[in-house]
Amino acid sequence: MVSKSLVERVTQIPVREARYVPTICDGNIPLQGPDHRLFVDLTNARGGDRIAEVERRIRWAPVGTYEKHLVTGHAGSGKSTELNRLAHELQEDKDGRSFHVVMFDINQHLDPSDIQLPELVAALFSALWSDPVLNVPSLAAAKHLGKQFIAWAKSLGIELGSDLAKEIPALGTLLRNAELQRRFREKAWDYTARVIEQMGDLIQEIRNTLVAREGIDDIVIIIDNLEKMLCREVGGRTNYELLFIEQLPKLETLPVHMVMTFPVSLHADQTQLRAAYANAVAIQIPMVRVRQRLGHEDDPVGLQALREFLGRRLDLDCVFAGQNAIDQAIRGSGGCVRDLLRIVASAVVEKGSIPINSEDIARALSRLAADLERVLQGRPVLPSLHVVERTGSLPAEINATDRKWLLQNLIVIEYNGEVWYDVHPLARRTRAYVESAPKESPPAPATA
Amino acid sequence: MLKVRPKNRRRLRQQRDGMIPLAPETEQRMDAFRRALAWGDHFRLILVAAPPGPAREEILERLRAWSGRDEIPALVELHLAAAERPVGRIRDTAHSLTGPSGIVLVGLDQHLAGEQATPAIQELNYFRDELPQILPGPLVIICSPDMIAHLLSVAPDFASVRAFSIEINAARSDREVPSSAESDTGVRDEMPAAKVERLSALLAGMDLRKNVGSAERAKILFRLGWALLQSHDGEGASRRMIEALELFRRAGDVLGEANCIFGLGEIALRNFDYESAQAHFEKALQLYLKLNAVRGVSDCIQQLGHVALRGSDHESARARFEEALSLCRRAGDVLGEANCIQSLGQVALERSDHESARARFEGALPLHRRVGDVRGEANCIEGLGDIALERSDHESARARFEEAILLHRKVGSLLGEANCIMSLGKIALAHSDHESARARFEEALPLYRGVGDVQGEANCMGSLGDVALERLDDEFARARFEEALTLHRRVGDVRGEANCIQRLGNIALRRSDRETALARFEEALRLYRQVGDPAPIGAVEKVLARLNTKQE
Repeated sequence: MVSKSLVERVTQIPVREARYVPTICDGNIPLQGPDHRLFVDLTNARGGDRIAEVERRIRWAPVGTYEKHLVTGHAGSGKSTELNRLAHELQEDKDGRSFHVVMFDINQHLDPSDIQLPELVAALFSALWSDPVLNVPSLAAAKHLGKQFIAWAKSLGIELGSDLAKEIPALGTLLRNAELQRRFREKAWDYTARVIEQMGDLIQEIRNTLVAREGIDDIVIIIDNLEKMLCREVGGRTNYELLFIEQLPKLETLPVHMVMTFPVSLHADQTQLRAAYANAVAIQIPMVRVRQRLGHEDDPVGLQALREFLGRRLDLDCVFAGQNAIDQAIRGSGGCVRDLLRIVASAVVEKGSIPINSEDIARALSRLAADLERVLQGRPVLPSLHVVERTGSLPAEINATDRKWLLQNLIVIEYNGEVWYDVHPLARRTRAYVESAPKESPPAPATA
Repeated sequence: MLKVRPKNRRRLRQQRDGMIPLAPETEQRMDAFRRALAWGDHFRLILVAAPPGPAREEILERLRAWSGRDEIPALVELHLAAAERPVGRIRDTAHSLTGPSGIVLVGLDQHLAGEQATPAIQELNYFRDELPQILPGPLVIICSPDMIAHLLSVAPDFASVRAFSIEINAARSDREVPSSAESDTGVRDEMPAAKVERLSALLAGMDLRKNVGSAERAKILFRLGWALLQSHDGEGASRRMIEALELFRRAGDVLGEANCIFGLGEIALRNFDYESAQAHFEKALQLYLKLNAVRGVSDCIQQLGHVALRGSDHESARARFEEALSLCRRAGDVLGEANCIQSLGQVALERSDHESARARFEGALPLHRRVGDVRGEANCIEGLGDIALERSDHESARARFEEAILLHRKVGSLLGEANCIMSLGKIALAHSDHESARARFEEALPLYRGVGDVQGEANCMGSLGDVALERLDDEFARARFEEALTLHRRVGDVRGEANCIQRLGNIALRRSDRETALARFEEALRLYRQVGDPAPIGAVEKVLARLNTKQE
């Protein structure tokens, strides 16, 4: 099934009918192609264009120096849209340089519940092999590596032929099977260092032919969706530590620009990241600031940016009964664009008609907050969240595990500019949060 | 030809058997839930928190009723087997779908284990990017509230794309209505006959066991009574209800007692014993009032309205339904509200107030749809057909009846189906399409007999007489009217009786048997005066005046 773009699913843009509001407010679709007309540059309101910075670093990197970037962001912050934008920009000829971008979505190659380096490298090889521009199958280094991968797979009892052109893409698909993935890893584990070295040679060869043939300056590999891997214990450590801290840094030696996504919860542990990666730069796609760090005053830049964001999709005069309703939805989202879209869609679906007013938004916020009630009830970390709200900082009393969980689950959100944190407005509406507020000391008894 | 008005037919108030009322706050969000399903041709994740049991069964029933209707795409139901992961199943199903479709997934709760995500949940977390590519409709996950919290906690990427979430709770029941969903074996959609067999076996088993409490036995007897009633075994139902009633009384269980008395009222109503029905409902009403059982009170008032309606006491019927409507609205009982509005439509139709009747039926229709009550929906559409038929708008009437037949068949409502077929026969007869009319009436006849609806059978027989009358086959017509007459007398349907006698008078007149004709018309006039129906009274009086003038 080829899914239609958002703009193709509605009768007109901006939307003026209630029934199309949920469709155009589908925050699950990264903007690309015809949907690009919905794109609004939120970089100012996010505290700077971190993706443009990545682009500049890659574009301006001295020849022979290869950038490695780790990109993260909260669920629904617009990571995929931003990565698509990065890919698009890198392919443009600017300052006389353009790049070929290989988008490597691990979902399409591996069983994402249990990924480690050996199968990641094999799947990456398969993705490069299948790229229609790179012409990898014709390269000697590729044939050598391909035979090696096929031999390992065959030794596991996987039925593959000897025609590399057919079997390498097949291998890329077979590794989606969790059991095969695990067995392949066991087989290939001892050779991974050597394979990474050979991959380096292959990438050099690819670049040489690409530059000569296509006039493209270099290649960039974007590995997407690694951040969705869920944290779990593996032999006394977490799988995050195993892959992101111990294994992935080995890819830094590859002579290619790489951008990889990683879990937002790891971003809070910058010390660990810096120690693990020699050169990689970790950035986060932050939320749009909708309030000031101290106090609860609105951030006018963020509010205006998100009004424009909504206005690109919705006829604001038709859909909202007034400016108050719009701003209330924006404040309730905490600057998370997906949540903002969900709040608006939810209010319209609940009411069944437009325009929606402040009361409709308030009801939608309450319903969305109710989803979080069971998640938050009884969490020992709750009292500490009030410190986050008051100070904008993560207090030391929140341990590393809780910090990761809070960020991963959008209970605490991070803003850029000066880095600061807030409790998500939806979480702040829960009874669990409200009732965990520190009690004020009783007033001292009056003295005569 | 005499025009047989739909009001001469009997229509039992019918509901989806065993429908479980949901909590008012849940009912209030049903429209939003339907919109979340209907609006859009794209993937959307809908999380439904419904604990296993009646609430989950009910929401599944409603989703089945909504599937493929009113802009909601066809919904394919997936029940995960033990240890089965959801992603593979959803993927395989999605690839096999054609056209706009959605998936309803049940069984995810088995993957709730501790604080960490199991591999099955991890897969889901990654799956969300693939879903919009493969599923052009909603994915409705029905699971426990704890599982939803778990998803939000350990699979945030997946849960964060949810477009809609709803918590389903069953209403606190104050009147037990046995339902298949609540059955002790968990068997759903059980046919009444199978239910009777199972409950009978259960009862026999109880008889063999020692120390079975009388309360336990009373409950089974009561449920068996209901099942027998659904199987059209009024006698058996009555016997079981009375046994249960005795046991409940002995145990001092007032609610059980009220439920049994209500059940006996239902049995009497179906047996056309309106006096007894009224007495039972009034008695049950007092008990429910004592217990402050709102649903019981509202059900009794509605049934008293139906008793009044059957007795052509339109004013009392209207007042009863208005009273019940107000109670249902206050209690957030959407199904009750729908039934009351529909009944008010029936009252208006009986009074030939077509505008009010149409407004009522059209008002009840979306409420029935909202709660997935297909039978109620079918009855409303049928009511709209009746209005069109009374206004001689045969095209609209035919379309309505044909639409209603499909819905009645969908829920296995033989009586509803028979009524619609009868109406289609009347339309054919009005167009002098005798063959079609006869075929329709003959099609309806075994359906009425199958459900033990004597009045329906009588009307059908009379209609076959009408066809014969139009074809000048007086002998055949007379035989049918005689048969119909016996049946109408058996159920105390005076108007039906009058109609038959008037037709027999017409036959006698056509055969120049003036004496017999006079006697028949006079008898019919007496009966019409008894029920106070002015239109036929005027018609018969005219015929009699003409006959008497000729005599002079």
